[in-house]
Amino acid sequence: MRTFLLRRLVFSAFAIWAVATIVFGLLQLSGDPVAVIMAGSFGTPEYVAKLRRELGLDLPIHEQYLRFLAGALHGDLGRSLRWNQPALPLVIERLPATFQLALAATLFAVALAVPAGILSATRPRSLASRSAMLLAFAGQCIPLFWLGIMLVLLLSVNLRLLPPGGRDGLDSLILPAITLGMYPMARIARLTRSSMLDVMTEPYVVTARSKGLREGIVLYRHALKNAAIPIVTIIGLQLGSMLGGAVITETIFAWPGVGSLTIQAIYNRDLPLVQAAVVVVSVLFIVVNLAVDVTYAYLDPKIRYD
Amino acid sequence: MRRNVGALVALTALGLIVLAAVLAPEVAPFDPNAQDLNLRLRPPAWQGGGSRAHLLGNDHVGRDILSRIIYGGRVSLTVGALAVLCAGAFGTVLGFLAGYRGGLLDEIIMRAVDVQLSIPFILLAIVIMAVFGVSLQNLIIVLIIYGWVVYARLVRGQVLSLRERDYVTALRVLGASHLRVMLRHILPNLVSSIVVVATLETANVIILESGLSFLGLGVDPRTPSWGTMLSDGRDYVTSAWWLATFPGVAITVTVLCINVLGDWLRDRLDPRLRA
Repeated sequence: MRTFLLRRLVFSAFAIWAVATIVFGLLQLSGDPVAVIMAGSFGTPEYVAKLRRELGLDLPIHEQYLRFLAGALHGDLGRSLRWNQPALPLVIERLPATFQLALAATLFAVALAVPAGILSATRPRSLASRSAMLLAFAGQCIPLFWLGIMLVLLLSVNLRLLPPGGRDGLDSLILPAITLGMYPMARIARLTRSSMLDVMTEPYVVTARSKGLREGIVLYRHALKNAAIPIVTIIGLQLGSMLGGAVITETIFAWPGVGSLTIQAIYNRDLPLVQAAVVVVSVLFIVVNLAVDVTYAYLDPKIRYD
Repeated sequence: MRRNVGALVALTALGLIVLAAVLAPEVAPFDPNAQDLNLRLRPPAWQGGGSRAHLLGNDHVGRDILSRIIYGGRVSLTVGALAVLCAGAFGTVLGFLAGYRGGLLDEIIMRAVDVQLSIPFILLAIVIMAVFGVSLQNLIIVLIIYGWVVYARLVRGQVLSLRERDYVTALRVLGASHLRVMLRHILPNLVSSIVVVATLETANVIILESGLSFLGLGVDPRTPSWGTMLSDGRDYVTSAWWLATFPGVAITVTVLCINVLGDWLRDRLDPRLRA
């Protein structure tokens, strides 16, 4: 277990460094930040030179890179060109909204997917089961940006049941959570079904049934516990990917999270802010994946000894 | 039997979509970029104020929606097919090298795969498009970067298993070169898996391309594409529901057909991929 954890920790640290390097490299290719700041205005050569010195752009590239890494280790991910403030606090300010959305979407996905998957595995020919799997299949085919717009059209514009956007009360969370959670719901449902089907044919489940135990006990005390291992893993992975994948959902619903901040920063050519947002979200994604790996190793002893 | 019927329906529908896209200049009733402000926001034919000439209505600058959907299919399907072909080729070659040669090359390639999978790709795609600019070429490059990892992992895993087979050892003992073993004896065993994954990945690529175009970071906004149509339609959802609805239906139906076909191919060619 210790070796496994150490390997995962080392890889996670390497992945974080790689992400930071890739983002730094991409931003170096994006052009001159001074040109962005000065866009439309005229500065004297002395002023431009002063600005370059302040931003460290007069240094050789390898020194800029080392300066960036050193700054990142101390929580300095550059300065927003648009807001003229440190970029990291601007990103962190938006994180709670993204977390709230990702958690709500996960809850929605799990609440629907796990019962649907169990039903489909235990009563495959029932109408409810077939409907659930059809919904799961459709959920993987419907693009989330279209789903979001259609939900707004139906539930906000036509039926006036829910607000179309913004972050103002729990009811404003419902539509974005359904939109973001639909694809994970579909994946979790299909995985739950296949995981339960695998477990239901195991000898210990057959034995439990032949002992005369009630079906509920066989399902929930014996089958589901073992089927849950890959399900818990995928739930964790989906939560991690929702942190990054919320970009489109936040844009549609004007949800004030990191995703919508990133898009606004891109439209404003505020690349230091983009850099900070991508690094922060990637770090969170890597940390969540690490937590999922550790949980999986804890739940499944076979993994620890690999 | 039911699966076969579903696959047949999906194949037929997909065939019609592809045919319409290929024959767009002949099939589309109007030029997709022809604007007529007298026709702006005209509803579909079956609604009051609609016209049979413009079956699915007109957008905010009077362009025919049906024509734009047909031409938009060209963009999505072309981009999707190109990206999947290139990503498949690139990923297969790298996966092959990683699995067959092993050692340092395997480590480098697989670490690159792991690092890429550590980044939420939509964010990376957005940054790349923002840095290098919105163009069809850059979009295809981004989609290739997105797709190669799936093939690399799949092919590497299968090659690792196949290279240990007795027949491969026998071939090497008999003097067959590495290249011959790879191309004549191992690669043919991978084709069915690659085809299944490529089919399913086409759906993901179409959704990713539409998503980027929706954000204004995909194809040039002047090019008719399903994603840009959805983006335009979002601003008029309260007054003109058809602008956002029909492009979304087009994407969903296309992706649905590809997924049904992909599932059927997987069951026929390589059920192991269910895992």
